[in-house]
Amino acid sequence: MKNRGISYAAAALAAFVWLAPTTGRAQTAAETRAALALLSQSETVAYARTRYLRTSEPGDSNKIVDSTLSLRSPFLELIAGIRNLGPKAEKDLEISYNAVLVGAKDFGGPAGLRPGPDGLGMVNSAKCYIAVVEGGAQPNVDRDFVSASYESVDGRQVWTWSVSQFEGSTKSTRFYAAQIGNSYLVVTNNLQDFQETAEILTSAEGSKAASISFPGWESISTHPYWMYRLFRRGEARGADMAGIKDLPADVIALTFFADIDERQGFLQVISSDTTMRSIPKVIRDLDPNRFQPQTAGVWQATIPLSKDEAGVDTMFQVFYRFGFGVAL
Amino acid sequence: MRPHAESPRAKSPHEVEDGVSLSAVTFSDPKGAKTSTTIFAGLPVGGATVLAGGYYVPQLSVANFSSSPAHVTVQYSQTAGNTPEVKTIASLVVPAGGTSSADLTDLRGDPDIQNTFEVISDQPPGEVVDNLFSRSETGIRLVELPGKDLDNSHNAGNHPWTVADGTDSTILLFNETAAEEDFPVLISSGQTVWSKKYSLAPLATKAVDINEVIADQVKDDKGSVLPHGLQSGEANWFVTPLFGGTGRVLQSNRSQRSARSFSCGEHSVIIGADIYSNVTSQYAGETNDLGEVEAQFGLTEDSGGCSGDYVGDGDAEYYFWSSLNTSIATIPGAEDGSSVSVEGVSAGTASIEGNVEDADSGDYCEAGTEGEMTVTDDQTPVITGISPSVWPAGSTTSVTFTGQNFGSNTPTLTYSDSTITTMGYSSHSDSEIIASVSVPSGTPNDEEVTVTVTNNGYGGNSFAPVSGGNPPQSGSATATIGGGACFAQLKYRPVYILGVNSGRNHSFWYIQDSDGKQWIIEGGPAGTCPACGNLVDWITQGTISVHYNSGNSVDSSGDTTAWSIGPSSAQCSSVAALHSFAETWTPVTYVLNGAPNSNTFAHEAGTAASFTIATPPPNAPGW
Repeated sequence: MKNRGISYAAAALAAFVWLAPTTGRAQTAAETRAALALLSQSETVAYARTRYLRTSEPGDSNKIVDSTLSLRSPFLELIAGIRNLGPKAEKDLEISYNAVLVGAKDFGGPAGLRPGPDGLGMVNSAKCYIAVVEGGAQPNVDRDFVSASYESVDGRQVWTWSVSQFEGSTKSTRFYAAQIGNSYLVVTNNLQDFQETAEILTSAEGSKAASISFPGWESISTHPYWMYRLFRRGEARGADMAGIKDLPADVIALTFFADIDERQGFLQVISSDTTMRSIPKVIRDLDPNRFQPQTAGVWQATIPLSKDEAGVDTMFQVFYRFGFGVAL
Repeated sequence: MRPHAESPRAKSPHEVEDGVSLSAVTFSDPKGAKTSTTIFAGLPVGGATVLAGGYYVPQLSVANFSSSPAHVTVQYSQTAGNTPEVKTIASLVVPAGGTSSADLTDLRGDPDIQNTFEVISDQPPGEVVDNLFSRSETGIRLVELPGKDLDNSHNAGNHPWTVADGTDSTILLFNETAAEEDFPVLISSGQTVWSKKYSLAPLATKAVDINEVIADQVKDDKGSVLPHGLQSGEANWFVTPLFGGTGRVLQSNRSQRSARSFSCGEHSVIIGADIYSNVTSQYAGETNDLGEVEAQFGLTEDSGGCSGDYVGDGDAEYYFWSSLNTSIATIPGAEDGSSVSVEGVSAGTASIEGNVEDADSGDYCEAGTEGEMTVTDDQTPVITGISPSVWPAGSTTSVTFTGQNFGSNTPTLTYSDSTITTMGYSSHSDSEIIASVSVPSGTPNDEEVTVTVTNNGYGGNSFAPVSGGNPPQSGSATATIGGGACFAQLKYRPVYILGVNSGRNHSFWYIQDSDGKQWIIEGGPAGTCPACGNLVDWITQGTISVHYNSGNSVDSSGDTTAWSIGPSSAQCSSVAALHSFAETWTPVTYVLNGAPNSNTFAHEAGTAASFTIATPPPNAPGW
């Protein structure tokens, strides 16, 4: 079960040649191990350099209209959990760790989560966050978790704490967190993900990082922000909550990556239809003609990360497709 | 300028064959002494930084010219930092017509020569003559200073300084009094002037190293520094009381093993006055701190005069204030302080005179100067604007009154319809009042209401009757009750993810119908997911939603307004259409992917009301 994602990726995408633009530096070995751990368990994996999360604080959404603010969407639950620990925790962890990844699955449940949404807010999912520090020296973050409880999980001391739900639900979210090895801080919203991820990272640390097999990884990994979703249609508990409502049947996977400084995003659609006869309709308000064929079965659209309502709406729909839909 | 010292190369009574000495030539006349206390300020004790590596032991010689034995006490004040340590170190009995001496050993001294001795006898002034010097086995062998009478007439000094050829120049100041004393110090060279005021504790000695001031670019009280490269100039110091300060400049050269002391005394006298005003205008009935007066001091070598070269401002011993136009402004409080409070009486400009004196009897100097206080009589308030000028019945409206002469104290708002009340003030100033005005339900539509603003004074002072009375003044303007007037406000607020702003907004309507009733009308998802149900709506009477009402996720009239219309009876049909649209809303399948959602519902409700919404809510996908 837990390796199904990576096997899907290998089977479906091995033939594609990736033509993504490159920018920045390649991912570190620790980041690659973290990505591998999440790809093996999750349906969607997202990555961001923490400094970009810092600069994309929504601030006053009453005044600022900027599509880059939505880039925090996959990480909002982590921010909420950390912020709940105390006033300094969020800043400390942003400074201490260089990058953060999230793996998400089970959109709308179960994993012990409430089925949602039953009010406004984000679709619930099982999420596993891995913060990665460069240089192999764990920062001391004990002071940031003083308000959390200590529990023993599989013989490991784990911080646990709960955050009340908002927007109509009274069920709280329970977080599990621990520093793993020399490079990782794992934070999950369910116990199972924590146990599996901690085990994988513990056994992987120190070993040579395996290569990630989905095509284009070498290029996508140079970007400060990326997402990848390999659709598991059979596991969906509701097409809308899973973000696959009206998704063409031939669409296998999506990738999104961004040059945030250049305010450009790139959405790639990987289709099982390699004839390239029709453009898959994946984003409701995005002109299909924006998609250009890249190679057999791969379409790519450039999405400006603009400071206008059109940009905000487009990114809202992009994140919906990756499982981070928000009920408004 | 008469240095009371001579260079080491000059012949001196104390010169020794194998060394050099710093010796004083005493010009003082013992019969001119006013007290029986002699002060020796800045004598080296132990090691001294500026004196060529010597180690100094003070020695005292006393001659008694009286016909009875003299009991002599020696007090030693050693200052570390700014804190003096004062102790009695010796007591002598000098026979009539005889002499006596004492080695003052085992004293701990300050390396910056912040050491001062007071030699006190029980004989009349001038009957006992003291001589105090310090000896060293190395370096400059002898350092002798002129003693000064405690009440010597000099309260200032003007001395040369130089840092040329490795010379150190140090200003040494001593506060003879039992109170903390300010010593303004001016170091000048040509047009360059550096001024700093030093406060000395009682019996404290202060060393100001001019070399350090230049080398470390020490800022004076105005932020100025002495530029590098300055070689020489003059150093002035003074104290404002007639008595109480001693000072000198020590020039020493370690490589040349030489030292000179300059202790020419001068007199600081008041030569003028300056007023520093805080306030120059006020209203009648208002009391303000006008400011303060400071004495201008000048230095002169001649005692008894009241003129000299200006060296700076300082505190006077005595002050006196008066109003030269008491029908315009008076001084309600103390008139003998360095500052003064002035109360406005009537319109006009009053001259307020501040006087300074350095003594209140005998030979003293005084000066005075005038400041002005312009008094404005209280004016009648004028209301030039009321916004909004139509107030809905049955609600509280935030109203901005603009105009003038409202006063700085909280004004009073009154209404011709006594059922209308002021619930509170958001802010108020002389030209603007923002207040919450409550109009009860049932107030007749289109009723004209006269609003009166009463000025209650300024600066915390009311318009208490003064010199004939200046009662509070009032001014009026008219507003209209819009009882039954309808409005619609398109509201929005952030949607939160576990309390974190998601960056996306949810929009809804806040309306008032023709009955004056207010409603929150909102849409949103309902039903149990994973089916996720439908887009339904909720209609809540009042100003707060009963559905979205959790933590900071509350739909209420206080949320941000994207667009609004009314209040106006002309909008009642549109508002009714919006309300009807909500009541007859047929649920449709809710979609997470943008539309239809709550923003879609709000948009369609506005369309049903035929509103042209020029400013839709931001960050509201689905709109």
